[in-house]
Amino acid sequence: MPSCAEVHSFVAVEGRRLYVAEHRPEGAIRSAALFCLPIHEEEKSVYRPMVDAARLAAERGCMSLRFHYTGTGDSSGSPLDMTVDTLVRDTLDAAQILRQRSGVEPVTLVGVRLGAAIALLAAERIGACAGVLLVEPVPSGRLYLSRARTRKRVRRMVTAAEGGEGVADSLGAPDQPPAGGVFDFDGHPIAPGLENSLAALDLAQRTAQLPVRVEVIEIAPRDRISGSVERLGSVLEARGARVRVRALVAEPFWNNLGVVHIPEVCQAIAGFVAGD
Amino acid sequence: MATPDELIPPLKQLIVDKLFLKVDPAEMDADKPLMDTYGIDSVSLFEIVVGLEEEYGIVLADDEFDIELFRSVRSIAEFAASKLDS
Repeated sequence: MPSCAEVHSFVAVEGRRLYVAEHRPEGAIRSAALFCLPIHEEEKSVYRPMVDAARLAAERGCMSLRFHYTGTGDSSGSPLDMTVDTLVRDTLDAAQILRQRSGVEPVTLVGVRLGAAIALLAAERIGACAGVLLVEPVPSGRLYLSRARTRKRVRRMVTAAEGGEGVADSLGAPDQPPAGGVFDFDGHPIAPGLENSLAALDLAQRTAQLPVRVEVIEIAPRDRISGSVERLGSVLEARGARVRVRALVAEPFWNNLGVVHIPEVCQAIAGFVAGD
Repeated sequence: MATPDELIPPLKQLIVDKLFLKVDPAEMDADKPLMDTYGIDSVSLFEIVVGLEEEYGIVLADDEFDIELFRSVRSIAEFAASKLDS
C-alpha cells in the first residue's frame, strides 16, 4: 500500500473534463510535481513506473499530480482532435490544478519521451517553475513520427513471419495516409492535426528564455551521453537553464510490452522533484 | 568500405547492448538464428533497427522490412555492408 493519500478525480476545464490523480504526502507538502506522460503505446508502458515514481516522491514530501491528456484515458474528448498545442494546454491546466491543491506555486515538471517535450514547451509559459526533468526526451517530432512508423513496420514484419497479415497488405503504400488522413499507429490514430504539429516540433529550435533548473536523463545501455542529448543540453543552457545531463543505464522501458520495474529511474525522478 | 566480417563484431556488441543480453558478444555465433537463440521479439527487433540507424545511418526502405534480414548476425552484417556500400 502506498504511504500517501491518493485521490482520483475529474476536473472541468473550459468545457473539457480532465482526469487527474493526486499523490499527497502524509506530512507537510514541501514541493509539487506534475507528471507529463507520453502518448499511445509508450504511455501504456510508462504508466505504472510513473505511478511508482509519484508514490516515491510523495514519501519525500512532494505532492504529485498525474493526468490524462484530452482525448486519452479517462479524460473527455476525441484523440482525433489532439495536437501538440492541446497537449501543452492540458499540461498548463493540470499545473494550475496542482498549484491550487498543493498550495505550492512553483511546480516541477517531469516529462517522459514525448511528455518531456510537452513539459519543456509548457515550462516556457507556466510562470513559476521549480524545475523540469526530461526523461529520454523526444527531441523532434519528425524523429518521433519516423520511429513510430518504423516500429509499426517491424511489428507487422514479425506478424507476417508468424503467419499473420502481410506487411504490404496491412501497411498499404508507404507513408501515404489513408482516406481521411488519419494514420493508424498500432491502433492509435494520428490525425493530420497531430501529425503536422509533431512535424513542426523541434526542441533545438526553441529560443525562449528558460531560467530554470533542467535535468536531462538519457536512458542508455551504457553510461554514455549521446550527441543529440548533449546538443539539447547545450541549447537549453543557451536559453538560460541550469542544466545537468546524465545517462542512466536501463532498458528502454517506454517500448516494453510487459510489466516494467525501473527503480533507478523512479529514484532519480523522486530525488529531482524533492529538490535533492 | 566495411565487409560483413568486419561488421560482425561491432554488430554483436550493438545487439548485446541494445537488448541487454547477458552474453559475451565474442561468444555469439554469427550464424545462429537470432530470434530463436535469444528470444527476440518485435520490440527487440525495433531496437536493432534503431541501432542500425543511430550507429551506421542505415535506414531501412519499406521493402527491406524482411524477417530474413534479421535471421542472424551475419545476415544483418551482410545487409549493413551492402547498404554502406551503396
